[in-house]
Amino acid sequence: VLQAIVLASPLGFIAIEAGWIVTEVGRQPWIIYGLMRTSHAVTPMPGLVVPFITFTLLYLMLAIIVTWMLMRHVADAPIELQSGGV
Amino acid sequence: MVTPEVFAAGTILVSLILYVLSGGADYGGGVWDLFAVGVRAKDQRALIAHAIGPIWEANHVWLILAVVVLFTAFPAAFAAIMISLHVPLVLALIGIVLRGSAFVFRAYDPKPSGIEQLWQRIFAISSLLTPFLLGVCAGAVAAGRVQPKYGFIAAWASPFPIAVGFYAVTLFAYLAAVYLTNEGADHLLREDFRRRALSAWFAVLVGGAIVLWLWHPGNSEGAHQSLTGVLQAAGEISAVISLTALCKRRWRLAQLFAAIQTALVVAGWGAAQYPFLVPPTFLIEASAAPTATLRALEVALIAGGAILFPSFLYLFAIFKRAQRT
Repeated sequence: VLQAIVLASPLGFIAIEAGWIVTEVGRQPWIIYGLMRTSHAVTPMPGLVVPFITFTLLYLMLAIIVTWMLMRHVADAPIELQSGGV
Repeated sequence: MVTPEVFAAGTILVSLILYVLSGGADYGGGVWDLFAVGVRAKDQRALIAHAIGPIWEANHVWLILAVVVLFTAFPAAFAAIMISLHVPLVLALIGIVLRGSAFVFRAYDPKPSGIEQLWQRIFAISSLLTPFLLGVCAGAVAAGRVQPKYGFIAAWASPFPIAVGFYAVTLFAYLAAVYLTNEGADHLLREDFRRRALSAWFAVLVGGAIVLWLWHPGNSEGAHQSLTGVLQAAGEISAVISLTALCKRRWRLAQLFAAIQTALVVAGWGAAQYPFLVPPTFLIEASAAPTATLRALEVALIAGGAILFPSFLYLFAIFKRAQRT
């Protein structure tokens, strides 16, 4: 049963993200439903692929670092439990 | 009677002032992290990290508030700014993300990783570049360069906006150094930051002189010249008082007047632009959203302020008390 809780813990996040993607993708081609099309709302700035790739790589990198740091915290946990006392 | 349009524009100005006084000093702290030298470099960094502490993230509330009020109350001006200043704003955003992440990574890693140096570097460099870029954006707005004819580069890559960028960095560095003289109990560290504050004061003087020299009053026709003049004079008097207080080691007085001086710089910018929100295209009254939107915004701002201000006071009270014990 405890293992089932561990497995279920990401489900809430997946539900939130999935719901968000559905609202965003499902609304297309409107940015404001029935009022304004996404193609009319986008900035006329050329080369938008550059910030798109930059931000994707940036957040990918941050995700990797956070995962790595969380794993270090987990690896550290038993020592803290001994000294801290629960 | 203050019109809803002016109320909204005033809210943007006030939240920018609060952002500069709180977040600006945090950027300045990062700048001193970059320039930490001498035998006490490590202690200086520790004091900076301690002073920025857990509150820095909350300070970004003011920038977010300014942006949200801008796009709610003045959507056309918001669109024009976001298009013309796309490049520096995106770079500033990357700087804000990197700066915050590096600070947190450095602070919360459970054990030595061997790359703390890297986090510290990223934190310090992005602390220098981000306020520079935000200053460039402010300068571009003030100089009336947010216009389609200037395109995506020339709108901000010109002497005046770049001078304002440098000025912003010197001002934040000054503010941070003066704040830091009030943070530590250690006498030697206090003297370190006093010396830094004094040199930064002269950098602010030079930066301010260049900005005024490059400024063409012709850009601000219909400006409230008298109010701008009064604010500028008051700012200069505050600058002299904070310098004198610093020389005489009156730490609290120096901090108070450094803050007043900085607030007056931003207020003076607002007064110089009035009645324009983004000169020479967007007047505050003419470019605002419909009155119904502004009324709703006003209610939201007052209700939000009633929650936000006590929360902030409580937050500061907790952490300042925790630091003393």
